[in-house]
Amino acid sequence: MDGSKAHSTVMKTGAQWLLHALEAEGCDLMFGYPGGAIMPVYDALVDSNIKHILVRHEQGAALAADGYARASGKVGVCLATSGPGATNLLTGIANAYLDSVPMVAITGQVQTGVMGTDAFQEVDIFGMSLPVVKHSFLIRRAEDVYATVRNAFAIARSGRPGPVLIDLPKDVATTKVAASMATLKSFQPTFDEPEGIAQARELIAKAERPLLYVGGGVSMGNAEWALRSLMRSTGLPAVWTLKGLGAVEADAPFNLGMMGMHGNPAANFAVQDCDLLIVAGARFDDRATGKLSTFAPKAKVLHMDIDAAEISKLRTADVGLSGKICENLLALAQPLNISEWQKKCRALKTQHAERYDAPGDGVFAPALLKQLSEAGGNKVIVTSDVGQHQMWVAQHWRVNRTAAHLSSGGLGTMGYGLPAAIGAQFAKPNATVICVSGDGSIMMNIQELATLKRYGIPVKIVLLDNSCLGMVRQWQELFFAERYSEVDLSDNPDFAQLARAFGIPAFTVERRDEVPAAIERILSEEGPLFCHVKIDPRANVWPLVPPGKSNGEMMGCAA
Amino acid sequence: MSRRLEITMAASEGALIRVLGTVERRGYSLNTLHVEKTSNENMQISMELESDRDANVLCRQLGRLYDVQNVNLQSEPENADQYVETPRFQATWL
Repeated sequence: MDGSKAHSTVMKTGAQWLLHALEAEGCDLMFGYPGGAIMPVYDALVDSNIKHILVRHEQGAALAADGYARASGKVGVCLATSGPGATNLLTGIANAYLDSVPMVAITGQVQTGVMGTDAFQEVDIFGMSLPVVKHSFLIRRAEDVYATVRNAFAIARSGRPGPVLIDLPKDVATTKVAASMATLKSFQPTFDEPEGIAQARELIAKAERPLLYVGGGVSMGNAEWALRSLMRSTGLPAVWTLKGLGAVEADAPFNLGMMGMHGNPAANFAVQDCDLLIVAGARFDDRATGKLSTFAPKAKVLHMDIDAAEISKLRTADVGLSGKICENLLALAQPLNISEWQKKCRALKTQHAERYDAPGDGVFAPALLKQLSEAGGNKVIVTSDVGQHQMWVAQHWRVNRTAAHLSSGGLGTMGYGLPAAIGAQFAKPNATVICVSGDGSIMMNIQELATLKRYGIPVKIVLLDNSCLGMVRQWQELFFAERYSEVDLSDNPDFAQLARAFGIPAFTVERRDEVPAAIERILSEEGPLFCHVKIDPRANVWPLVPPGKSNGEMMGCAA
Repeated sequence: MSRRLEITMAASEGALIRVLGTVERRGYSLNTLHVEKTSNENMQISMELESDRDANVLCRQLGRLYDVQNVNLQSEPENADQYVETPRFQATWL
């Protein structure tokens, strides 16, 4: 219970109770867009200490809240009106659901008396969002507003984090009441397996070729330090997923890189050869495993996840450990004799080291990203959109903490990068936040340049422009007999001019020898900046596991 | 393979559709469904469902829902008296 009072004697409107509960949760920032049904909340906001960031599209609000949550570790909050405002939030809510990001999304709703009558701007957002929320509430009594908001936060951040929707009818927001203060502290389903640790230790002790498979759950569980401690004490080699990037130190001797469709061959070959896969906060996503039936064919599986429902969902675990990943990782430490395996992993890593010696004078995107990340160092938070550039960032950006790399992993939301960068910049005002985008993705939420301008948010945008939908084009080239269909974007606007029209300083890079000066400007200029980089439209992301193939059958690398 | 599930859950708004949606989205089809409100706050659902997928995983996916208090998985309907597994998984209020 929240304190000793079960019921307040103070009278406030539902909207005021909502903001009071947000403040009680430590929320000092939210992203939103006003409209009819949510106007009572916006009216109450005038008297609130919570800072509201006016985005230019509700999807931007949800994705900014996502970026804020990932960068800060707090619950992100977004706000929209009913109808189209609410539906525009949905992609961002789904994005948070697929990547387990704590978020509270608040939507206005038409008055309770007209709900179900197809009233103006009425949609059943509660029903529409059911498959993509951890939980949702439709508040029908103003007395319940305060407790519901507090409960929503508890659910969003407890256990496996996720988004919670609160739908607030307009009359509930305007009714003045004394509110119930009874609230939930946390919500964490449990799945006790007390003998699991001993079994897990035994599996590891008996393994000759054990390998860590690190996912986003490590950082979500604040367990990066535990993972690194385990790696140092045991010498276990590790591979990671897109969301696991940064959990393993970039320079760690047995960091074999990203696994999966565009993973490092060293990582994929090690997975195929290991005899024990120690899965930490990952979920056997198809982009990571390739053809599941041939994934890690020689391996037993030790699967650790805060969410018991992930264990044995796709690959049967020999031992499953649900619960706090930090504690489980620490409990696994023991001396190991795996020097032959380490030697093999080291050789794989050397053999498949990335190369940056591309021919020609044009900008080679992987090299640019590597140089920019090295120059920026640990003060940089990078967000990426979705497409080829996203994979180049994952492959070549040097990241030493997961909260410094924000990417839409599960949903693959084009348009994520810019709003996420806005959220991240508010979460970490002293960080250098760089959004790496593509010419397809940037146009999905280009309107948020106006948000950058309005608030003077110093996000740097690096737009890798290949005048096409590069990833789709690459697949059409490789798997659809070069039958290119609707991927040409050669009529893109002049992006530098477009950015300037929004009041954002901008410049264009076309040649490789212009890159060093561009990097210097990106890292030194105060305020927002738009760097438009033209790259070869024919450039592909390598290596690549073809669809339906095993991770051992990569294209674009030596076996 | 046909399995029988019994679910105890809060009778809150949307809870039933949330549970049924989870069952269908996760690849199970319903053969039978019985819903009964056992009090003002709670309801009991019994269902027979069909899928090639591991029903234990579905139990955990249902068990993590906020409204769900308990999930019991039974063997095939003709052996309904014999519980093959009572998941150790329960929503816990801390």
